[in-house]
Amino acid sequence: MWRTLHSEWGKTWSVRAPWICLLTTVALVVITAMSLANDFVYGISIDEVPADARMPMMDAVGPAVLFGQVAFAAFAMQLVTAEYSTGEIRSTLRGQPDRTTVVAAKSLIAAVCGLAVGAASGTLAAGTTRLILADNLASPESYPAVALRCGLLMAVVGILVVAVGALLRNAVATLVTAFAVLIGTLVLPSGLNGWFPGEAGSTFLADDAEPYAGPVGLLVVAVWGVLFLGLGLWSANRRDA
Amino acid sequence: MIEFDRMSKRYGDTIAVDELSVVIEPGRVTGFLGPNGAGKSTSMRVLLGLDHPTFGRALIGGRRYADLADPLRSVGAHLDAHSVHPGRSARNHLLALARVNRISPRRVDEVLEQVGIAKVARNRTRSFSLGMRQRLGIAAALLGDPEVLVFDEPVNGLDTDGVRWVRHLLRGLAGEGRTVLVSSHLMAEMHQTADHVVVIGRGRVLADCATEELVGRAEDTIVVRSPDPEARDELRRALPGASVTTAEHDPVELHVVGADEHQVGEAAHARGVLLHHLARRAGTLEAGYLRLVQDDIEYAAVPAAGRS
Repeated sequence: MWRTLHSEWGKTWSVRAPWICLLTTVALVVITAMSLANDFVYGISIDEVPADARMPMMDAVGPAVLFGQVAFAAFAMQLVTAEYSTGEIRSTLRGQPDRTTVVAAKSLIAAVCGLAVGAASGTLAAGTTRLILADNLASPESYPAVALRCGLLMAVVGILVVAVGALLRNAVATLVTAFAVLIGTLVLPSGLNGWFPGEAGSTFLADDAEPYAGPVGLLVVAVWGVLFLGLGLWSANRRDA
Repeated sequence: MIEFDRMSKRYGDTIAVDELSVVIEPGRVTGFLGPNGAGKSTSMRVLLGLDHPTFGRALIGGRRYADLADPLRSVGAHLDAHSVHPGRSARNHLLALARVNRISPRRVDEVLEQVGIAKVARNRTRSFSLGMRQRLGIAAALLGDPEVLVFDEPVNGLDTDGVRWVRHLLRGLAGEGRTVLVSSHLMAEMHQTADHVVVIGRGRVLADCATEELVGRAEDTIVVRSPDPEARDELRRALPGASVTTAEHDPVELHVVGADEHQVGEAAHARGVLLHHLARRAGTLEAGYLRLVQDDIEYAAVPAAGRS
């Protein structure tokens, strides 16, 4: 496993697309959070919002991270789908014929990168939000807590997307499915949407008490991740490469 | 040693390989021949663990590919020139393969040098010609210094020098006692490279013999040149058991199959046909192969009810 991980890690950073996807993720999260915070401040300046109103930090950072999941999904997706679209999978599986090990190594890379990019983008977004909101910020959260929640969610999302990629193999199909599962499910009726990754992730990021305690949200996303991982491994082992 | 043991592969209702049983011995180059769709590539993919056989087994040294520890050190393969991410450099591609099989980075530089692409090794493979990609694929096959080597159409896209280089490489590898299995459509090239041939058609083995034995199945041709416009008809009348045809490229050249040079010379003399040239042309691998495959196609065309 260690050697496969070493090989896959080297492969990840020896092409351009992963760098672009991760930088885009950070930029998307920070810019979205800035925009949301700025809208709030602007609302006060035009008297749309009372001058003494306060915005919780995660009202800006949370939606921004959910949005950023799409760019990060592109990163996690190409770890798998680029192998199939380029034909490289035939080289990969000759080096490591155990397909479970290959998918596991890619999942781990997606999780580690998700943790890092989620923590970095969440912290940067929290910092800029704090600067923009200034006195209009409701009870500021500690940066490590924000970083941990954003990082953990992205890590689980990374595994989920790698698993969808292993199941579908096709880049467009994987990205569309990831978008539908991670973001699209937000529009489901309330009550129902709590059992899907969109609302569950949002609840976890905001550390809400509704519809369940925050950490349960992460657990819901993780259950979806495990479900897709099971399907992905089944498909990778069963189908011809 | 490579062994296919009653290996079958189906795709839905299509049988790509039908109970293939054949042993590829070490120390010689074995040519793997057959028409398009005969199941050559499928057999190789099953051998390398990429496709799952529907039935039977494909073994390398008695073990399935998936059961080999550090497989690249036992089996090197080059299936196609497109098993590479175009955005990655040749060196990084090989490094990733080396890492997973405990092969030193020094060996990566060695094989890049050996196949002649060391100077462009740090370029993205997107900029590579087909010939350069073939060389990179061959480098990947040689990486683990394996005892068994499998190549699928390795000379496609290579220039004359490249083709000669591959021929010497394959013969050298077999000369070192390794097992070398190579598929190709280029019969003239295979005639010069392979010591032994396995021919498959419609998923079954049609021949498993020395290359010269397959060549021997094609009869020699007697080539004659005559300015006499009646030469062909006269020879046909004189040699009723032989086939006499006019060469496509030259109306005064005739090809006689089914008679030897003595019979042709005597027939021409008896009929008063003036000859400017008479020579025996040895059978080729292509002719032997075509004859074998033709017989198989004709057999397939006979309705099942007509067979005993």
